[in-house]
Amino acid sequence: MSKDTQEILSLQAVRSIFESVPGLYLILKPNAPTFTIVAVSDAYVQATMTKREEILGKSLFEVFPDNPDDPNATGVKNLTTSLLTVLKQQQPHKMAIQKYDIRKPKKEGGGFEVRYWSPLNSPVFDEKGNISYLIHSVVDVTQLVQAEKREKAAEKKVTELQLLYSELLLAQKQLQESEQRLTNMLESVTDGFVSYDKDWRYVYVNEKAAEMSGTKKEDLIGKTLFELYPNRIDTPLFQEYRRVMSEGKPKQLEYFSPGAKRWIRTNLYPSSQGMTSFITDITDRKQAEERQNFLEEISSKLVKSFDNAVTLQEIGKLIITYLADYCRIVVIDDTNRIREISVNHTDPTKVSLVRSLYDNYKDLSDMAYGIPRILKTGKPEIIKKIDKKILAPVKKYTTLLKTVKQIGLKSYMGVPLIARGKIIGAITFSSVSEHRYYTKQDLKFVEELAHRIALVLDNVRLFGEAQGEIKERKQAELNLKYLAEASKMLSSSLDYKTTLSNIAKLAVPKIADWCAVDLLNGKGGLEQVAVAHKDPQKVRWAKELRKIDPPDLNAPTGIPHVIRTGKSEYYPVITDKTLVQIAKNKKQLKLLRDIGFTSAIVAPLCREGRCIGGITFVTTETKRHFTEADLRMAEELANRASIALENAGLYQASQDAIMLRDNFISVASHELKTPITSVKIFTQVMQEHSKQIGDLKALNNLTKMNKQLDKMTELIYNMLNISKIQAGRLEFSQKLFAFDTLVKEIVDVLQQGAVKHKIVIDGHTNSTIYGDEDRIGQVLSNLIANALKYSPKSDEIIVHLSSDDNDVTVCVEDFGIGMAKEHFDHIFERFYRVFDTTDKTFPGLGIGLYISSEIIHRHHGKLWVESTTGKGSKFYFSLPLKRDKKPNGIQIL
Amino acid sequence: MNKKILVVDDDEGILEAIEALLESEGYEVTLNANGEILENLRVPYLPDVILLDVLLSGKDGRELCRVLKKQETTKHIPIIMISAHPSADDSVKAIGADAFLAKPFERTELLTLIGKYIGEK
Repeated sequence: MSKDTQEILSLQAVRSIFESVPGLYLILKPNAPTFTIVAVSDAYVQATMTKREEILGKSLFEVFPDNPDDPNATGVKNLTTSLLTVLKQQQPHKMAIQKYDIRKPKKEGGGFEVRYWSPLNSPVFDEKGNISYLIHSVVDVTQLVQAEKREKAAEKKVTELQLLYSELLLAQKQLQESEQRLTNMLESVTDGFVSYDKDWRYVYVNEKAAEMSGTKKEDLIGKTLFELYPNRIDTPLFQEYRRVMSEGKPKQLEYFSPGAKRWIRTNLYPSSQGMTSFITDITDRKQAEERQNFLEEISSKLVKSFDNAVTLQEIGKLIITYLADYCRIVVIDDTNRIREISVNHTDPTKVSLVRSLYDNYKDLSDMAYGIPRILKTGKPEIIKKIDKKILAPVKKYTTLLKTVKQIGLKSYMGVPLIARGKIIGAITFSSVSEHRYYTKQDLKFVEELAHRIALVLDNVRLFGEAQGEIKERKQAELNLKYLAEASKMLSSSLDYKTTLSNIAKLAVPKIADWCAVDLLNGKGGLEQVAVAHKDPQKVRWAKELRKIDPPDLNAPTGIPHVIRTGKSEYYPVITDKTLVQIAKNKKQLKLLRDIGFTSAIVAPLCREGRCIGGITFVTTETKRHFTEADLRMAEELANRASIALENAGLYQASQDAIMLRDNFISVASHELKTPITSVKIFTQVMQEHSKQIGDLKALNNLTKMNKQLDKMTELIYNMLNISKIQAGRLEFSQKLFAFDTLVKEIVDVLQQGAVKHKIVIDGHTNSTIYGDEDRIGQVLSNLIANALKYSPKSDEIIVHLSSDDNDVTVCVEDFGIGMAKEHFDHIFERFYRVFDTTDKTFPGLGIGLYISSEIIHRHHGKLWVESTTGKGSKFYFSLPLKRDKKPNGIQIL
Repeated sequence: MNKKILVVDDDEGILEAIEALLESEGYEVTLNANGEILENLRVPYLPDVILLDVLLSGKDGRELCRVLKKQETTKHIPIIMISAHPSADDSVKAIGADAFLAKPFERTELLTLIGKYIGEK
């Protein structure tokens, strides 16, 4: 060892090196509880905003007390405990991350600044094995991401320094021995260590540094940097070297050494004697960083798109930038099909070769490597170097061998994409570059990469499923809404053709792009009763399609089949192949293709247990595929439509029956009137004759007979009216008439027939009414006739007339038997009869009042009763004055 | 000379009854059941009043009325149309009938109407 080397080993030199190291270190005396500070690194001074001369020789806690403003401060206590632990256990003690605020200098405003530290306390032993010093090192862990790295670095450095320092102390006393030990120690340090004197002469070089420089230690020592590397004098690196020496400030440099093809980090520490350089090979770290960046870039790409194909294409591009010349990615999609995404290096001549390699050998089962194998086993694989030995098993595939050679494959890796235990794809990496031979570390890295990609792909798939579910739920809501609306339509009208047409229209476009309803017609054919499409053009096409190919009732599929079997048909996916299969000729096929079928459902429509048609839902351009839920909806709709069809049928039948009954009643009543007319005339002729010959007995009988004939006439008349009211066909002949005149006429006629009673008109309306004079007269007659009938013991009937701005009101008052209140609401009902307490009925009441109430209601008037049992009744009716005058003539109100 | 009344109705019972009624009142009554009357309606065989049923089997009473009211020779003859449909009133008056009577009717109603058109018997 030279004289220079010994010089640098002086305590002063060591102190200066120590002070300039980049970490935060304090060297303390083990004099608990004072812990006097004996040395401090520049970085520590800087980080704690102190000055070296102010803290050296002082107690640790005097310099760094707890923040008095923080009542929870435990820094002093924890640090004391840790230092005591080191003293007791004689080994380093790492403290948990500490909040230990530091005092700010007075000129910066004083007070304390919040800091978090990760401290490590380590003992330094003297030759007797006693602790001579404590090294207190701390790392500022404000940025947690870097905390771990720094901590490790600090730990390593402390260990190194620990060694160094003990050795140096030792050296002071036993120079020879320590010299050797230090040398050994420096040699064993994985970093390079070089010391230069002021003239840039190598004074010390450890083994690692020599190895890094590629020159033997003996060839370096004593030579200057510039005579060894004359061509690097002006490089930025050497310029930095010179600057450090001249400025006397330590510096850290990172650079890529083109010769060694390694990344180097150098810590330069100037000293009074020259400069010391710690050299670290950071290639691995750089690579790790690069890969970290790569992973981050990939991750950001992965979350940007929910389209896996796009994402994987992007990832492939990144892979060929960083990791490979050829990259092949396959994923297994939902339908278990393998989808391939390949990205290739930009050499077009080789791209086709690689392509053919993929295509021709993708199914080879006896291949020891490749995607099929990875997909089967789920295991990663690597061929560090593709050589003859590796290619031997595939010798028989001469073309394959030739292709591999032509491409110049050098190295290969393949990894599976596994998500939640399921193999969902694979990625292969191929290198054709001389300098890129994959290593186990590379494989580990791409496994990590594959892990991330698989995770994201799986998430995307889950997201897609969730989206799908949301879509499905939305569709389900639409379906329900449609079903509800369609049901309302079905029950709202009995005209089934219109209804079905509306239902078809309602289905488009939310449920289907196309909806049609076909029903069997009486002639053994199918009739399309409703069709709706988003695009009217396509309705024309569909009609054309029907013209070309009228539905064959024996067809194996479609509506005829559904009608025959009573079961729905469900085509979730209609492919072009399906169209080719069903098309009978080219023209039809073209039309089918133009329509663009995507999915279809045909559901049967039934009536009285027999299938009579079908409802068809088709999706075309929306490309929506019907689901089982849609099928259920369609079946439910068809079911409800079937019920509606049945109802429509029943309604039609009942309408027919009513029509038949009405016609019968109409004809019968007119037929009956003819003989009655005849009998009535004969009766009256005979009455006249009896009068003339003075046969009073015969006259009396004939009068009774005539009365019965009138009764019979009235019954016929009522029967006809009821039938007409029921059918809504009661005819009215509307015109303007003087109301009071009508009342007087009616009263006069009835007065003639009344033997006992006097019918009195009280008041007047002086109004003209627009309505059917005869029928209103009929109402008044009916009310007066009832009054006569039900007041046998009294002798007066009063007809009260009144009017206001809006109505005329008539009240027919009798002083007869009256009725209980419970009957008031019912007496205007058809066939209602009032029974009194003795169960005696009052015949003939029901029908007359029912017809009267119908007539008044049709004139927009009101009819009501007030009555007291035993005292009499008041029957009222009112008619509106101001009604729109319609032209005279027969109307159905 | 007694006033002449032609009664046209496809129902035998009606014809007989009206004949009994009008003859008892002293009118000269001619009955017709099929509506084939136009041939015979010539001077001097014209009736003073015609009772015409609206619905005749095989012939429409209203159509007959229209023709009679158009012909020079017959248009002055009062026509009373009768029907079991009370609502026919307005429609028959629209085609020229002088009066309408709904079946069944009172003896006095018919006699009053006839009296209105031909006064004496």
